[in-house]
Amino acid sequence: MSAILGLDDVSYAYRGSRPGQHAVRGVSFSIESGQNTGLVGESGSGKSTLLKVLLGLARPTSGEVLFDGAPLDLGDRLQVRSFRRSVQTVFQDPYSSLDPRQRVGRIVGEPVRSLKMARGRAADALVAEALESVGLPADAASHYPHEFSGGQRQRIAIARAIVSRPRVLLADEPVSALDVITRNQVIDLLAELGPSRDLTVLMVSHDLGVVAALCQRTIVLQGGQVVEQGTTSAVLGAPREAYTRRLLAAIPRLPQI
Amino acid sequence: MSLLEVSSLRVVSSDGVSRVRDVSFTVAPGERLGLIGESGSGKSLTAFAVIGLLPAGLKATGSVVLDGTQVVGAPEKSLVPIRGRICSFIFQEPLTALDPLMRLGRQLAEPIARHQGLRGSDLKRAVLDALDEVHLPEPERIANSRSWEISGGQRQRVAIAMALACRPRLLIADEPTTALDVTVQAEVLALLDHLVADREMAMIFVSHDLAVVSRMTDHALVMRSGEAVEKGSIADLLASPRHPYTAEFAAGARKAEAALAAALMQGPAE
Repeated sequence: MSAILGLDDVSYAYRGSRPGQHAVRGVSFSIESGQNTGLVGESGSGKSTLLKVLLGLARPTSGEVLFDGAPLDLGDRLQVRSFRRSVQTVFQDPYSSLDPRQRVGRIVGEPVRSLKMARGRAADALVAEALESVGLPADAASHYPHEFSGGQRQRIAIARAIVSRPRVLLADEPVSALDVITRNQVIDLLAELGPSRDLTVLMVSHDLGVVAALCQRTIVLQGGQVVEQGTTSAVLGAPREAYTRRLLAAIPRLPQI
Repeated sequence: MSLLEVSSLRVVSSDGVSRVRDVSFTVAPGERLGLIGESGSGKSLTAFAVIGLLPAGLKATGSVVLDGTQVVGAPEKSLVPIRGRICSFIFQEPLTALDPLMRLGRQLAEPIARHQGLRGSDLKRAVLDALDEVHLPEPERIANSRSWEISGGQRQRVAIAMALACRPRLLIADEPTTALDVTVQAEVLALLDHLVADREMAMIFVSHDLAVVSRMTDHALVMRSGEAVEKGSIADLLASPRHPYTAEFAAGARKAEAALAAALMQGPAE
C-alpha cells in the first residue's frame, strides 16, 4: 500500500480574504492505493477548495500537495503531465460538464488527445474500451450528450475520466444529481472500477450513505479543518468527535419494519 | 369532508404531451400525504396544479377542489383569496420565493398585514413574532436583512414563516430541504413537523427521498412518469409494495441506506 496523492499541512486563503481567514487550514491526509476515500462535510467546510488544490488548479497558500511522495510542482512540465494522466475527475452535474456540441466519442477522447496518448484507430480503441467498461454501448460514441439520461451522462463523464488509465479519480458529489435507483448503479460502477482498473476514488460528498457504500476511509471536514479521519467503519461506527456524531444523527433514516 | 379533492387531474404541455395523467387523491383536514417519485415523475407539477400555479405553457384539466373551490380553469382572481389563507406553498429553493431587493421583514409584513389587518407597531411586532416562531435567532437583524445576506437554512425558515403567515389549512412543501445541509435539514424538518402539528394543518410533502418523507408523513402516493402508481402507508410501501415500480423504488432506497446502517451498527472492529 502506498500513498498516491496527499496533502501535507495544506492551508488555502482566497485572494482578497481577510488576513488569517483561510478556506482550509492545516489539512493533511493521504490517499492510499486501493483505499477509496470519502471527504465529507457540509457547505463551507472546504471540500471544494481542497478538491481544487488536489487537482492542481489552485496552489496552496502554505503546505504541499504530494504526488507519489514528491511535492507537486506546477512549473515542472514532466511531473504535471504524469500528474494529469494519473489524476482525473468527475463533476457533480452531468448536464453542465459535457459539451453539448461534441459527440460522446470526442468528449471521452479528449484526455487521449490532450495527453498525447494515442491517435487515430489506437485512440478510438481506447475510447471504445472506456465506454465499454462503464457499461455503455460502443455506438454511444457517435451520439450527442442530450440523447442520454442523467445516469448515462454520468457514465460518459466517468468514461472520460478513466480513459487515460488514471490511478486516482477525484469525484465531486458524483451521484447527488441522480435519482436513487440510478445513484445505486453509478456507485456500483465506481466500486467495480477500483479493482478492475487499479483505480482509487476520492469522493467529495455530503452524503454519508454514499460514502459508506463506496469508501474504505472517511475524512470529516468542518470549517476548513479535518475533524476526524480513519477507516469508514471506525469513523461512522464509533465517531470520536461531537460534530461527526451530530452529522450521523441528522441523516434521515427509513422506518424499521 | 375533504379539504382537498383531486380527481382525474391531467397536466398537458403546449406541445400536447401529458406530464401528469389521471391522478386522483384526497386530503382531509389535518391529514398529511407524501408525494414521492423521481425527477420527471410529475410530483411537483401535481403540487403546483393544486394551487393553480403551473408554469407557463402547462394546462390542467380534470378537477381540483380546494375547500369547496374548483381550482382547475378558475380565473386567477378567484384563486387569490385561497392562496395563503387556505393553502400555501414552500419551494425547494427559498431564494426563488423571496425578493432579493426587499428587506425580509417587509416581505413578511405583506401577508400578515393582509391577513390580520395590522399596521404600524402592531404589524412590526407580529413580524418579529412570526420570525421567532420559526426559531430564527435575532429576529430584528433577520427582518432588516435581504434574502442573500442570510444562510440557506435561515432563508427556508423565513419562507416557512411567510407560508404560515395567513394561517393556511393546507401546507404544500415541495422538496423543502433538498438544497440544505443534512444537519440543517434535520432542524427544518423538526420545525415543520412541530408547526404543522401545532396548528392542526394538513400537509402535502413532495420529495424524491423516501427516508425524508417517512420522517414527515405516514402515508404517501408514489408517482412515476406522470401517473399515480400506488398509495398507501409508508410501512406498506416498504414492506409489501403492490406495484413493481414501488418495489424497485423501495429496494433502491433500502440499498442506499444499507451500507450506512451496516457501518453504524458495526463499530470500530474490522
